[in-house]
Order: sequence, then structure tokens, then C-alpha cells
Amino acid sequence: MTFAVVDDDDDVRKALSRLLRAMGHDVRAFASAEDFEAEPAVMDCTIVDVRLPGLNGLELRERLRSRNASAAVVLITGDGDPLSRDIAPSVGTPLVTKPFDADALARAIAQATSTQNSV
Amino acid sequence: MNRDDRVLADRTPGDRGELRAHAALPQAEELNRRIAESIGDCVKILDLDGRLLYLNSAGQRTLGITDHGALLNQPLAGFFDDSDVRAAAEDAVAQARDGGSGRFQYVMRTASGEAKWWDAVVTPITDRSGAVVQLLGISRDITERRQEEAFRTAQHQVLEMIATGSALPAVLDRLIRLVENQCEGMLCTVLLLDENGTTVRHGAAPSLPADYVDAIEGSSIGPRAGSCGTAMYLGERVIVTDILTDPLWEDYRELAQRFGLRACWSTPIFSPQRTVLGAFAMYYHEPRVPRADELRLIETAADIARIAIEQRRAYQALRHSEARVQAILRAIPDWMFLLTVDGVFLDYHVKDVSKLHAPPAAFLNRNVREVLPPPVAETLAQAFARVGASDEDERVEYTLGSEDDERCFEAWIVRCDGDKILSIVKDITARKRAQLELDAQRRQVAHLSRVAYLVELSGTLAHELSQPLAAVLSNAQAARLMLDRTPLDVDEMRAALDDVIKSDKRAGAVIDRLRALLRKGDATLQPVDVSDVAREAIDLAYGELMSRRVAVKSSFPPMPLVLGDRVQLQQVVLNLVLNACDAMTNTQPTQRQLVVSTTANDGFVELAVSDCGPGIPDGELERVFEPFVTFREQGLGLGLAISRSIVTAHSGSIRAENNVDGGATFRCLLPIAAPESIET
Repeated sequence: MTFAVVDDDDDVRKALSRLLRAMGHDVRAFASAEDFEAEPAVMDCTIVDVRLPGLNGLELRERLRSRNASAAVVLITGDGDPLSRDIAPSVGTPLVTKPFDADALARAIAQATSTQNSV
Repeated sequence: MNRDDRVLADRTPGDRGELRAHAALPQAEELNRRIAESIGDCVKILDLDGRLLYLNSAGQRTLGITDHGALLNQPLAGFFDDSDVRAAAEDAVAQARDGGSGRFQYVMRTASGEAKWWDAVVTPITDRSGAVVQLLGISRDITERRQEEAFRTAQHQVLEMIATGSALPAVLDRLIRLVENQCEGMLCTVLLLDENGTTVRHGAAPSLPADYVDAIEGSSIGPRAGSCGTAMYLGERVIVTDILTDPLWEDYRELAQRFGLRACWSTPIFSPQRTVLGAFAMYYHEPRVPRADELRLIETAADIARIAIEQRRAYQALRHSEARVQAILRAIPDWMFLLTVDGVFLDYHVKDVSKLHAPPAAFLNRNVREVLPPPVAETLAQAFARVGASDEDERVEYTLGSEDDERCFEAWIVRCDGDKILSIVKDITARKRAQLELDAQRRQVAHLSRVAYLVELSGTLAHELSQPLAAVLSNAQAARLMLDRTPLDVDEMRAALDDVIKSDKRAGAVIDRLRALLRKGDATLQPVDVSDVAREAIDLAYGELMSRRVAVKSSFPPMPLVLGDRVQLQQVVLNLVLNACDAMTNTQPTQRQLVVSTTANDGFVELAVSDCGPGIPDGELERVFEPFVTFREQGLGLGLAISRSIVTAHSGSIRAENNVDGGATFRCLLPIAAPESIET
């Protein structure tokens, strides 16, 4: 699968990309939502941090969904963010908190993509 | 002399005794005549009906005639215009005629126009048989005597006014009228010299035009400043007989002319130390040279004015010193001790007798070094010596008592009576304890606030730790997965492990910062510009503000400095800002507006943080500051409570209010530091 990783933290972006590649996937990494949207290629799954400068993760999800209702998105977050309350964790948009274990990540990806398949 | 002839005509010579007496008569007559001519009194000889037979030279001079021939046979009463005087004169004549004597007083103008007072006595002139044949009238000029009497009475009145503490303007007014009464046409004034030594101030001038008086007020003395200004400048009497021509009046000539003043004589009024207090001046509407008696009058008046002015100054000085004493006593000292400069107790005064630590016998007439413990005694003794030598007050704090009953005292030491020391002592134990408690509280608040800072930033902190930890975990797990692959990608594994190390260090740094925050440190008071603090706090919260899509409008002009702990104040701003963001969580992102501003007025710097959330529920405006009261789902609800503690510890205040157009505003007031408490 081709993944998009969107996180403004350099270390996290690098590590997550490395992990996904070690898991056997292709990864494209972006530091911001704007950078991601500039990329025309379609991704199989997008892993995006809720907290981003500019357009945040939630908004990015909405935009993806508006273009493609079954787009697979996994949200990752680093804190007990008040915004987390805003998140209506609908089925298909799993939320993983950092630091996340590789298995947890895998489960979230599976959930996101299965929804995609089921729609 | 007709008298001679007429008398002789009625007699027949015969008796030898009579002849001898008769011979002596012309000599006696001549003697009498010469006497009458030489005395200054006015002598009249009148017939039995009171008609004039003879008037002496003095009388002629008074009436301004050289020959009394024209007045012969005029009745005495006819000399007077006043009907009362005429009647009195007739009475006197009648009394004399009957063998007695009559007396009356009257005022009459002399030829030169001067009004003079006269005392007239009419007595009978008898012949040898005792029969009244003529009348003798002698009039004496009592003008001076009367004037002196009047003057003395008035002077007495003025002095009495001074002694009974009448106000200076009233005294000077009376004095002036007294003097003006002595001389017709004279207008007097008293001018005062301001303490600055150069400005003329109005004292009293009841007869001078108000406009003239106003024009003089505030002018400066000098070598050519009219009569008074010059007199005060030179310290000498100045006589100007004609204002129109005298050079001294050059600058004021036009002014004097406007009011018709032509002559002005001024004498300075001196204090006992020979400083000039003011001047006494006499004005006339025509050019005049002063007579000797007028000069004497002006000096007397200046003397009385001096007494009046000095008395007022003494009174004012007394009031001033009384005020000082009152101020001292208002400090309500617990003890007052009078000592010599060397530290020997001379006297004491205690507000509450039971508070005296030792009986008077134990310290009176003994040296402080014998009475108090050495370190305290030494400090005080040295202070006494310094105050005694320099006349500068000193404040000394000291403690007395045992370990479990230690009391603090504050002694205000002043010199008094020239060579003695007054020590005014207050027990400040309670105040000191309160101060210590306050300091302890401040430290507590500082610590608590750091902990609360932690709680406030718990979200941010968790986030900050989660990033490096996530990187560590992901890198480690990636490396683990790679170990199972063939071929081994050693470079990638190395990179992964390197990143693990790097991220762990990053986490360590976050932990270090945490520790620093937790460390209990003392609040340091520094001069702080609240605008700078607010700006830094906004920068700190930038990430949060951005991710919550809160627009910030700020106004941070340079503020007067306040004394405070920079970190703590930053916490307060941060707390208010984050609070505001929380309040706007449910507001439309495009409407989320945060306004932060600093202003200075009325001795305070005000920091205002406004949001456009739902506002604070009615009645909760004070409750929000209570600990553990929160309208958020996260946090302990300590933020505002801690903020208030910090602000209170800075002698400031914080309150919440709802905005008219929605949302709430938190206003924090901090006192502007006094300039002397700021040192760079």
C-alpha cells in the first residue's frame, strides 16, 4: 500500500515512515496538510496528525472525505487534546495516540481500509 | 492801660497807705503787662459783661491780627461759632463775675488754618476791696496734649488687639486709622514683604483706592521702586515730597498720578533681627514736606506694626511646630524615652504602664549600655550619638526577649531640646510576624504556581513527551522488523537506532524542564514590563492558539514597570489566554477572537484578556476564581485560583466580567512600581 504520512514533527514523521517501510509499504511523507494536498497522487491510506500548522488533521479528513467518501484515514494525536472532543470518531476514522505500538497502528490501518472496502 | 486810668479815676487820694499802694500800682501793672505779653497762652481781659478790653500778643497771633483794637468790646462768646461753646463761654463769664471761676474747652482754627484745641479759664479780677471789677480769661493750647491722649488711647487699643490675637489685617487697619486721625488729609498704608525677600504684599490700606492697592501687590522692591519699595530695599526711611518729580517714582509715577497721590513718606518695619518685614507709608494728595511730629508719628506707627507682624509670625511658627508635634504623637508610640546624647535615660513616657519592661528605677539615670543587652544597647547608643551630632533622624529595629518570647521593636530617634535624644518606640512584633508570614505565603504561592503551571501545561507537556517517545518506539519497532528481513539493511537499522538515541535525548530535555519547574524556588521581584510578559506568553501559546484556530488581536504598548516575578506573571497571562481559548471551543472557528491588551492608568497596569465565548454564568463571576471550579472537562480548575494568588501576592487584583457583546473579559491590575524601588 501507499501511505501518506502527514505530521509536522520531523522525528515522528521520519520514524513513522521508517516503520511503515519496514512493514513493507511505500510511504510519502508531508510536513503539512497543504504540502499533502499539493501532491496529486492518490494514496491508499493517509496517516495524519490531528495537530498541524494551518489546516489541521480533522479538516484534512473532511476534505478527503468530501472528495472520496471512502478515503482511508488514520488520525494520530500526541496529547489529551481538547480537540479530541471535537472528533466524532466515526467508524472508519480510528484514532491512535502517540507513542503507539506497531500493532496498534496496524489495527488502525486495517480498520480504516476495511471500511473503505465495505463502502 | 485804660484800666489804670479808670480805677484811679474812681478814687480820691487821701490815705497814706492808699497812696503807697497807689504808687506801687503802676509797677505791679507794668509787671503784669509784661508777663501777659510774654506767655504763650492767650490772655484776655474782659469787662464784667464779658466784653474784650485787652488781648495779649499771643492771642493776637492766634487770631492772626496785629492790633486788637478792632476786637474791643466784642463779647467773649462772640469769638466762637459753635453755639455750645458760646453758651459755655457765657457760663464761664457769669461764674467769674460771681467770684468763682469758669472753665470750658473749644476747638478753633488758627490763622494758618490749623485746628487747635483750647482750654479756657475765666477768673475774676478784684480790687482791693474784693469786688470783682474785671475778668481774666486765659486760653491754653492743649492741642498737643489732646492729641497725645487720643493717640495713647488708640495705641492702647491696637496693642490690646495684638495681645488678644486679633487677625493681622484688622490690627493694621486700626493702626492706620489711628494714625490718619492724627493728621488731616493723610492716607496711610502698611505693606508687607514676602518671605522671599523681594515681593511686596498688601498689608492694610483702608483709605487708598482698591485699584491702586491691587496694582502695587506683587511688585518687587528695588533701588527705585517708589517710596515703600525703595525703603524696604535700602532698609532706610524714604521721604518723597513730590511724586511727580522724584526719580524714585519714575516707574510708578503714572500710577500714582492716576489716583492723585503726590507725596509719599515710607519707613521700613524691621524684625528684632533687623530683617525687613514691610513698610509703613503716608500719602498726601498734595506735595508735602513732613513736619517733625509727623515723622515721629510714622516711627511710632512702624513700631506698632512691627509688633503686630512679629506676633503673627510667631503664631504661625507655633502652629507649624504644633502640627509637627501632632504628627509625631499621631504615630501613637508605645514608649517614649528622653536620653542624653551619651545614652543616659532622663525621662520616659509609656502609653500603658503595664507595658513597661522594667521599673523606672531600673533604667532612669542609667546608661542604655547598663540596661539593655550588649548588641542592642550598642546599636542604640551609636544611633543616639549619630543623631546627637547630626540632627538627622534615625530608625532602628531591634529585638528583645527570650527565644520563645522574642519581640521586635522599632525606635525612631530624634534630637530634641538641642542636646537631648528622644526615642519613640513601637512594638512591631505583630507587623514583623505578618511580614514573615506574607513572605512564606509568597514562597508557597510560587511553588504552587509552578505546580499549577504544570497542570496547565499538562496537555502541552504530554504532547511534548509523546513526540520523541513515539519516534523512539516507531524507530525501535522498525529496526526490529528489519532484523527479520533478509538481506539486512544495516544502514537503515543504524539510522533507526541513531534516531532512537536522538529522540530519547529530546525526551530527557523535556523531563529536565519539568524538574526545573517543580523545583521550589523563591519568587524574585524584578522590575517587569507587563507588555513584554504578555507578548512572551502569547508566543508560548502560539502553537495552541494556532491549532485551535483562535485569532489573536493584541495591543502591547510599553508599560510603566511593575515589581514582580516574571515567570509567575507569565503564568497568569498564559492561564488567562488558555482559559479564553477553552471558552471558545464551541464557537465557530471563524468567530474565535481573542483580544489581549495592556493599559496604564491611575497607578496601575491593567492586563485585559477578552474572548467571545458564551461568557460566565450569572453569579459565577467570583466563583470562577475558586479552586477546583472549572467549566472545562480537563484540568483541575486551579488555573484561575492560582492566577489570583499570584496577582494578590503582587499587590494587585483580578476580576472577571461579561462583555456587552458576548464573551467574557478578565482584568488583571498590577500596581506600578514606585521609582525608588526600581534599581538598575
